[in-house]
Amino acid sequence: MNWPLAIVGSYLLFMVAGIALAAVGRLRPDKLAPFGELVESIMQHRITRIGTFMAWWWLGWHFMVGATIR
Amino acid sequence: MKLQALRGFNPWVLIFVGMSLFHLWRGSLEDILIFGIAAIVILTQVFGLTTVGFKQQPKFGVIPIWSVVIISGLVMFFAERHGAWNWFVMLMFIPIGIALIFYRDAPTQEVPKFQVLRSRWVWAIWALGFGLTEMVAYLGSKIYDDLETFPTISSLMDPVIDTPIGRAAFVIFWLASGAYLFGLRRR
Repeated sequence: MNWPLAIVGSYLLFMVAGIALAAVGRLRPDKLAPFGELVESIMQHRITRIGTFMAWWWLGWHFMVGATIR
Repeated sequence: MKLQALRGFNPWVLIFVGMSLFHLWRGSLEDILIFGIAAIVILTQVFGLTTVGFKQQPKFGVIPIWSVVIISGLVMFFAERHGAWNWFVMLMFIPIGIALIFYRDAPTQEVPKFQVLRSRWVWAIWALGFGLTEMVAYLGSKIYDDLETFPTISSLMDPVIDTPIGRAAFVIFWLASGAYLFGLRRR
Protein backbone atom coordinates (compact mmCIF):
# COMPACT_ATOMS: atom_id res chain seq x y z
CA MET A 1 0.00 0.00 0.00
CA ASN A 2 1.21 3.47 -0.87
CA TRP A 3 0.78 5.02 2.58
CA PRO A 4 1.93 8.58 1.81
CA LEU A 5 -0.48 8.79 -1.13
CA ALA A 6 -3.34 7.30 0.91
CA ILE A 7 -2.76 9.60 3.87
CA VAL A 8 -2.13 12.85 1.97
CA GLY A 9 -4.96 11.91 -0.41
CA SER A 10 -7.29 11.46 2.57
CA TYR A 11 -6.33 14.86 4.00
CA LEU A 12 -7.02 16.49 0.63
CA LEU A 13 -10.26 14.54 0.25
CA PHE A 14 -11.49 15.77 3.64
CA MET A 15 -10.56 19.36 2.77
CA VAL A 16 -12.49 19.16 -0.50
CA ALA A 17 -15.39 17.45 1.30
CA GLY A 18 -15.42 20.28 3.86
CA ILE A 19 -15.62 22.91 1.13
CA ALA A 20 -18.33 20.88 -0.62
CA LEU A 21 -20.36 20.57 2.61
CA ALA A 22 -20.10 24.31 3.22
CA ALA A 23 -21.25 24.92 -0.36
CA VAL A 24 -24.21 22.50 -0.01
CA GLY A 25 -25.25 24.33 3.16
CA ARG A 26 -25.26 27.63 1.29
CA LEU A 27 -26.92 26.36 -1.88
CA ARG A 28 -29.43 23.91 -0.34
CA PRO A 29 -30.26 25.14 3.19
CA ASP A 30 -33.45 23.05 3.01
CA LYS A 31 -31.27 19.92 3.02
CA LEU A 32 -28.32 20.92 5.20
CA ALA A 33 -28.11 23.93 7.50
CA PRO A 34 -25.44 26.44 6.44
CA PHE A 35 -22.25 26.34 8.49
CA GLY A 36 -23.04 29.71 10.07
CA GLU A 37 -26.42 28.46 11.31
CA LEU A 38 -24.76 25.36 12.72
CA VAL A 39 -22.21 27.50 14.59
CA GLU A 40 -25.01 29.73 15.87
CA SER A 41 -26.87 26.68 17.19
CA ILE A 42 -23.99 24.89 18.89
CA MET A 43 -22.54 28.05 20.44
CA GLN A 44 -25.65 28.38 22.61
CA HIS A 45 -23.98 25.88 24.96
CA ARG A 46 -21.10 27.06 27.12
CA ILE A 47 -19.37 23.66 27.04
CA THR A 48 -19.27 23.87 23.26
CA ARG A 49 -17.98 27.44 23.40
CA ILE A 50 -15.20 26.36 25.76
CA GLY A 51 -14.39 23.28 23.66
CA THR A 52 -14.36 25.19 20.39
CA PHE A 53 -12.25 27.99 21.84
CA MET A 54 -9.71 25.60 23.34
CA ALA A 55 -9.45 23.62 20.08
CA TRP A 56 -8.93 26.86 18.13
CA TRP A 57 -6.43 28.22 20.66
CA TRP A 58 -4.46 24.96 20.73
CA LEU A 59 -4.19 25.03 16.92
CA GLY A 60 -2.50 28.45 17.10
CA TRP A 61 -0.29 27.37 20.00
CA HIS A 62 0.69 24.10 18.34
CA PHE A 63 1.83 25.68 15.08
CA MET A 64 3.20 29.04 16.27
CA VAL A 65 4.64 28.31 19.71
CA GLY A 66 4.96 24.63 20.58
CA ALA A 67 7.48 22.37 18.91
CA THR A 68 6.16 19.24 17.19
CA ILE A 69 7.14 16.11 19.09
CA ARG A 70 8.37 13.51 16.60
CA MET B 1 -26.08 15.34 40.57
CA LYS B 2 -26.22 12.25 38.30
CA LEU B 3 -29.12 13.64 36.30
CA GLN B 4 -27.39 16.99 35.96
CA ALA B 5 -24.23 15.27 34.70
CA LEU B 6 -26.23 13.39 32.06
CA ARG B 7 -28.07 16.52 31.01
CA GLY B 8 -24.81 18.35 30.63
CA PHE B 9 -23.25 15.60 28.52
CA ASN B 10 -21.56 16.98 25.50
CA PRO B 11 -19.14 15.29 23.06
CA TRP B 12 -16.49 17.89 23.95
CA VAL B 13 -16.15 16.14 27.33
CA LEU B 14 -15.06 12.92 25.65
CA ILE B 15 -12.83 14.76 23.18
CA PHE B 16 -10.92 16.71 25.82
CA VAL B 17 -10.64 13.94 28.40
CA GLY B 18 -9.57 11.56 25.57
CA MET B 19 -7.04 14.06 24.21
CA SER B 20 -5.59 14.63 27.69
CA LEU B 21 -5.03 10.88 28.09
CA PHE B 22 -3.63 10.65 24.55
CA HIS B 23 -1.07 13.41 25.25
CA LEU B 24 -0.21 11.78 28.56
CA TRP B 25 0.69 8.65 26.60
CA ARG B 26 2.45 10.77 23.96
CA GLY B 27 4.51 12.53 26.59
CA SER B 28 3.90 16.12 25.49
CA LEU B 29 3.85 18.14 28.70
CA GLU B 30 2.42 21.36 27.25
CA ASP B 31 -0.39 19.48 25.47
CA ILE B 32 -1.17 17.55 28.67
CA LEU B 33 -1.49 20.90 30.47
CA ILE B 34 -3.62 22.54 27.74
CA PHE B 35 -6.01 19.63 27.23
CA GLY B 36 -6.00 18.69 30.93
CA ILE B 37 -6.96 22.22 32.02
CA ALA B 38 -9.60 22.38 29.26
CA ALA B 39 -10.99 19.00 30.36
CA ILE B 40 -11.18 20.18 33.98
CA VAL B 41 -12.95 23.43 32.97
CA ILE B 42 -15.41 21.45 30.83
CA LEU B 43 -16.03 18.97 33.66
CA THR B 44 -16.84 21.85 36.03
CA GLN B 45 -19.64 22.73 33.59
CA VAL B 46 -20.89 19.16 33.43
CA PHE B 47 -21.08 19.04 37.22
CA GLY B 48 -23.11 22.20 37.45
CA LEU B 49 -20.75 25.15 37.85
CA THR B 50 -22.65 26.94 35.14
CA THR B 51 -23.71 30.11 36.93
CA VAL B 52 -20.16 31.46 37.23
CA GLY B 53 -19.31 34.05 34.60
CA PHE B 54 -20.94 36.94 32.81
CA LYS B 55 -24.72 37.19 32.96
CA GLN B 56 -24.88 38.01 29.27
CA GLN B 57 -22.61 37.78 26.30
CA PRO B 58 -20.28 40.80 26.51
CA LYS B 59 -20.47 43.06 23.47
CA PHE B 60 -17.33 44.31 21.79
CA GLY B 61 -17.14 46.80 18.96
CA VAL B 62 -15.80 46.01 15.53
CA ILE B 63 -12.81 48.36 15.96
CA PRO B 64 -11.38 46.72 19.14
CA ILE B 65 -11.90 43.27 17.64
CA TRP B 66 -10.17 44.09 14.38
CA SER B 67 -7.39 45.98 16.21
CA VAL B 68 -6.60 42.83 18.21
CA VAL B 69 -6.79 40.67 15.07
CA ILE B 70 -4.53 42.95 12.99
CA ILE B 71 -1.93 43.59 15.73
CA SER B 72 -1.75 39.88 16.64
CA GLY B 73 -1.52 38.95 12.96
CA LEU B 74 1.40 41.31 12.39
CA VAL B 75 3.22 40.06 15.48
CA MET B 76 2.65 36.41 14.56
CA PHE B 77 3.84 36.99 11.02
CA PHE B 78 6.95 39.04 11.77
CA ALA B 79 8.08 37.54 15.08
CA GLU B 80 10.24 34.44 15.20
CA ARG B 81 8.18 31.26 15.09
CA HIS B 82 8.21 29.41 18.47
CA GLY B 83 9.61 32.62 19.97
CA ALA B 84 8.65 34.76 22.97
CA TRP B 85 6.39 37.17 21.04
CA ASN B 86 4.19 34.39 19.74
CA TRP B 87 4.08 32.95 23.22
CA PHE B 88 2.94 36.34 24.52
CA VAL B 89 0.24 36.72 21.83
CA MET B 90 -1.13 33.25 22.53
CA LEU B 91 -1.31 33.91 26.28
CA MET B 92 -3.03 37.25 25.59
CA PHE B 93 -5.83 35.37 23.85
CA ILE B 94 -6.75 33.47 27.03
CA PRO B 95 -8.31 36.43 28.92
CA ILE B 96 -9.82 37.66 25.64
CA GLY B 97 -11.34 34.20 25.11
CA ILE B 98 -12.72 34.13 28.67
CA ALA B 99 -14.32 37.54 28.04
CA LEU B 100 -15.87 36.33 24.79
CA ILE B 101 -17.21 32.92 25.77
CA PHE B 102 -17.66 32.76 29.53
CA TYR B 103 -21.23 33.97 29.78
CA ARG B 104 -24.22 32.03 31.05
CA ASP B 105 -26.37 30.02 28.67
CA ALA B 106 -29.86 31.35 27.99
CA PRO B 107 -32.41 29.66 30.29
CA THR B 108 -34.45 28.58 27.27
CA GLN B 109 -32.73 27.53 24.10
CA GLU B 110 -33.99 27.23 20.57
CA VAL B 111 -34.82 23.67 19.51
CA PRO B 112 -32.59 22.95 16.51
CA LYS B 113 -34.27 22.42 13.13
CA PHE B 114 -33.94 19.10 11.33
CA GLN B 115 -31.43 20.65 8.90
CA VAL B 116 -29.29 21.85 11.80
CA LEU B 117 -29.34 18.40 13.43
CA ARG B 118 -28.37 16.80 10.14
CA SER B 119 -25.61 19.38 9.71
CA ARG B 120 -24.30 18.58 13.21
CA TRP B 121 -24.04 14.89 12.37
CA VAL B 122 -22.52 15.42 8.94
CA TRP B 123 -19.84 17.79 10.26
CA ALA B 124 -19.20 15.54 13.29
CA ILE B 125 -18.61 12.57 10.95
CA TRP B 126 -16.35 14.77 8.79
CA ALA B 127 -14.29 15.81 11.84
CA LEU B 128 -14.13 12.21 13.09
CA GLY B 129 -12.89 11.01 9.68
CA PHE B 130 -10.27 13.74 9.56
CA GLY B 131 -9.17 12.89 13.10
CA LEU B 132 -8.98 9.16 12.35
CA THR B 133 -6.79 9.80 9.29
CA GLU B 134 -4.45 11.88 11.43
CA MET B 135 -4.44 9.15 14.09
CA VAL B 136 -3.50 6.47 11.54
CA ALA B 137 -0.65 8.70 10.31
CA TYR B 138 0.50 9.44 13.85
CA LEU B 139 0.44 5.81 15.00
CA GLY B 140 2.16 4.66 11.77
CA SER B 141 4.88 7.28 12.19
CA LYS B 142 5.44 6.16 15.79
CA ILE B 143 5.38 2.41 15.11
CA TYR B 144 7.69 2.58 12.07
CA ASP B 145 9.53 5.75 13.14
CA ASP B 146 8.90 7.12 9.65
CA LEU B 147 7.16 10.45 9.15
CA GLU B 148 7.74 10.42 5.39
CA THR B 149 5.68 7.27 4.89
CA PHE B 150 3.14 8.30 7.52
CA PRO B 151 2.95 12.11 7.32
CA THR B 152 0.96 13.79 10.07
CA ILE B 153 -0.67 17.18 9.45
CA SER B 154 1.96 18.82 11.67
CA SER B 155 4.84 17.31 9.72
CA LEU B 156 3.27 18.50 6.44
CA MET B 157 2.40 21.96 7.74
CA ASP B 158 5.66 22.71 9.59
CA PRO B 159 7.80 23.42 6.48
CA VAL B 160 4.92 25.36 4.91
CA ILE B 161 4.50 27.62 7.95
CA ASP B 162 8.25 28.24 7.94
CA THR B 163 7.85 30.08 4.61
CA PRO B 164 6.51 33.69 4.69
CA ILE B 165 3.54 32.90 2.40
CA GLY B 166 2.64 29.75 4.34
CA ARG B 167 2.86 31.55 7.65
CA ALA B 168 0.76 34.47 6.35
CA ALA B 169 -1.89 32.03 5.08
CA PHE B 170 -1.99 30.16 8.39
CA VAL B 171 -2.12 33.33 10.52
CA ILE B 172 -4.90 34.84 8.37
CA PHE B 173 -6.92 31.60 8.42
CA TRP B 174 -6.45 31.08 12.15
CA LEU B 175 -7.29 34.65 13.19
CA ALA B 176 -10.18 34.98 10.74
CA SER B 177 -11.71 31.72 11.98
CA GLY B 178 -11.34 32.92 15.58
CA ALA B 179 -12.93 36.29 14.81
CA TYR B 180 -15.76 34.48 13.01
CA LEU B 181 -16.40 31.93 15.74
CA PHE B 182 -15.99 34.07 18.86
CA GLY B 183 -15.84 37.73 17.95
CA LEU B 184 -17.84 38.96 15.03
CA ARG B 185 -20.36 36.27 14.34
CA ARG B 186 -22.67 36.55 17.37
CA ARG B 187 -22.46 40.25 18.16
